[in-house]
Amino acid sequence: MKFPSNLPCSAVLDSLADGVFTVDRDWNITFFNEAASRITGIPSEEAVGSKCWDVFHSSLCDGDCALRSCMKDCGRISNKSIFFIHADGRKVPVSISAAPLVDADGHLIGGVESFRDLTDIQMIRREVEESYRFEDIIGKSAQLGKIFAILPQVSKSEATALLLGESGTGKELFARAIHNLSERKHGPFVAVNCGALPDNLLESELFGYKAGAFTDARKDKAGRFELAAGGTIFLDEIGDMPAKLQVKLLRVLQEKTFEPLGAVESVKANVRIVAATNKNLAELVEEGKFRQDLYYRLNVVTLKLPALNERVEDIPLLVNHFVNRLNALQGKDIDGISEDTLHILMRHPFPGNVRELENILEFAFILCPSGFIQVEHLPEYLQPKSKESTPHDDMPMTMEEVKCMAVRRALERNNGKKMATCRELGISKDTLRRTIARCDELGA
Amino acid sequence: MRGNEGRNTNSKLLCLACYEDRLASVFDNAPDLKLFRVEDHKICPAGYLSLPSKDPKDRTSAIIACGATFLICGAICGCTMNELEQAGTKVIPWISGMIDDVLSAYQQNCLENHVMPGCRGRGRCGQGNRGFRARRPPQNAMHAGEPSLNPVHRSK
Repeated sequence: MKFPSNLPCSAVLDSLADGVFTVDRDWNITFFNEAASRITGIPSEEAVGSKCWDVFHSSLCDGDCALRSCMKDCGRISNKSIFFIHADGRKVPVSISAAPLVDADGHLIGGVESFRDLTDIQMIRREVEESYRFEDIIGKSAQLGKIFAILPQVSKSEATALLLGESGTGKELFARAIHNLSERKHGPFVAVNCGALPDNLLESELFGYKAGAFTDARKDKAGRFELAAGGTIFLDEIGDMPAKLQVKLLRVLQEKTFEPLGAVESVKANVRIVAATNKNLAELVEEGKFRQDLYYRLNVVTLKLPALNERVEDIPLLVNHFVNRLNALQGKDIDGISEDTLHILMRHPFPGNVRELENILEFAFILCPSGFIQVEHLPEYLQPKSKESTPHDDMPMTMEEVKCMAVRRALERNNGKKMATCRELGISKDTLRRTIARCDELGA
Repeated sequence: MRGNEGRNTNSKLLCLACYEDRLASVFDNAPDLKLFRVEDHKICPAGYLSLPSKDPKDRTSAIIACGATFLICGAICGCTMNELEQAGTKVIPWISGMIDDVLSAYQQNCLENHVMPGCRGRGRCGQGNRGFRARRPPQNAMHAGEPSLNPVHRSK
């Protein structure tokens, strides 16, 4: 259906909520609707007749013009996220669409660009992200939701808490959250990595010592238990604690007292203990490497923290959080990450969990000067590999050899997982098993 | 390069954030910084910095490092402008036009003719009360080109 010629075109365009402007072939603005004036703060009469880059001053002006590229290629651009600088010095996020304008004879006469202010949307998005924040823990996954639900009650009790989770799952963040939500929040939070210190040093660090307890002990030294009085002590990597210290810790848990090295009197331990490990403590107990009585003393309230690959839906939230944090720390203005980069991250298994994701983004921040983080800004091991040449690629192959190559590559892509490989190839488990057996016979 | 070396007291180092032969519409987009020495009403080219990186930090560091007295640029976000001003570079933002025209306007103290649309008014475009002189100074003015504190009235 044609646009009725008797309709007042400018009135129609002025009724839109999106900004719309048109340019002639020399980039002079020929029309600037009311919404465009409202969003940019520039009156229509000042905008019309000016060069578009003097009015819109966006991140694409000066070389990457969207209008120029679609007028050149006679194509269209839709919903591209950019920003322009408002007269008050704010960066305003907008989504733009652009298209060439042609006359009745099909001759190019200029271009039209519409833009939508995304400020409110970004604000709402930020509010939504805030609702997925619990203390400093970010996530909306069901696994985290369950933990968030019980964390306040766990925090309010004085019970010893044991945090189990792989390295990088944020055990210290959870320990801090427990402390911040507890009655002891105004007291100190003291963290000790039991796996990072040699046995004898760990003992003096935890319990302190009196002057003369050993050579070089010239004066009293308060241990971490004493420093944490009235607050919380976080014993990270508890699974690495030597047997001798496990006994002393058990005593702290049972009697709420401890003895500094060389002391003749016990000191009251007014601390709440939160322990954490990435090891399977039950297995360590069975192997005789961890005291069973201590295990049961620690295992009063246990929180199992999910690995990042178990809560993939949290990756975009975490990425936003780290981008904002790194922007603030480094004084940068990275807009976020591109869609294809996010896809790569969503498919990555993250053996290093959230810490690995944070490190990846820190690396990307070094390479990405501004705008969105792109695939080329990711570390080498995340870069999509070009199709590797194999000896077979340059020579004729039988159908069986081709099948073998397809199966082997699919298995590689799916980290050896057979069900995932079957789904990708659209074959049954039996077919895969037979194919692999046949390939082994052929040596293909 | 350092622009502060061998300067007399009336010497100023002017920096223009450029795209091709005009001022870049956005400071952050400018691939080139062109430097000009202003001495006794004469403006001479004093150097050129190519900035392939779009990192605003790189730009501000480069301008501060070369000792620019003034930066004339197009649109600029508030935080970048504050950073430059705190480091001692006076920013004359929201200016547009061809480089030669802008230099000539600077020399004749009539940059107000090159202010971007929407910025022609009292306290617009983050300039607060730092408008531009509405009248031309005498030709022998010692500080030609310096923006004054007199706000310009909107030209109709």
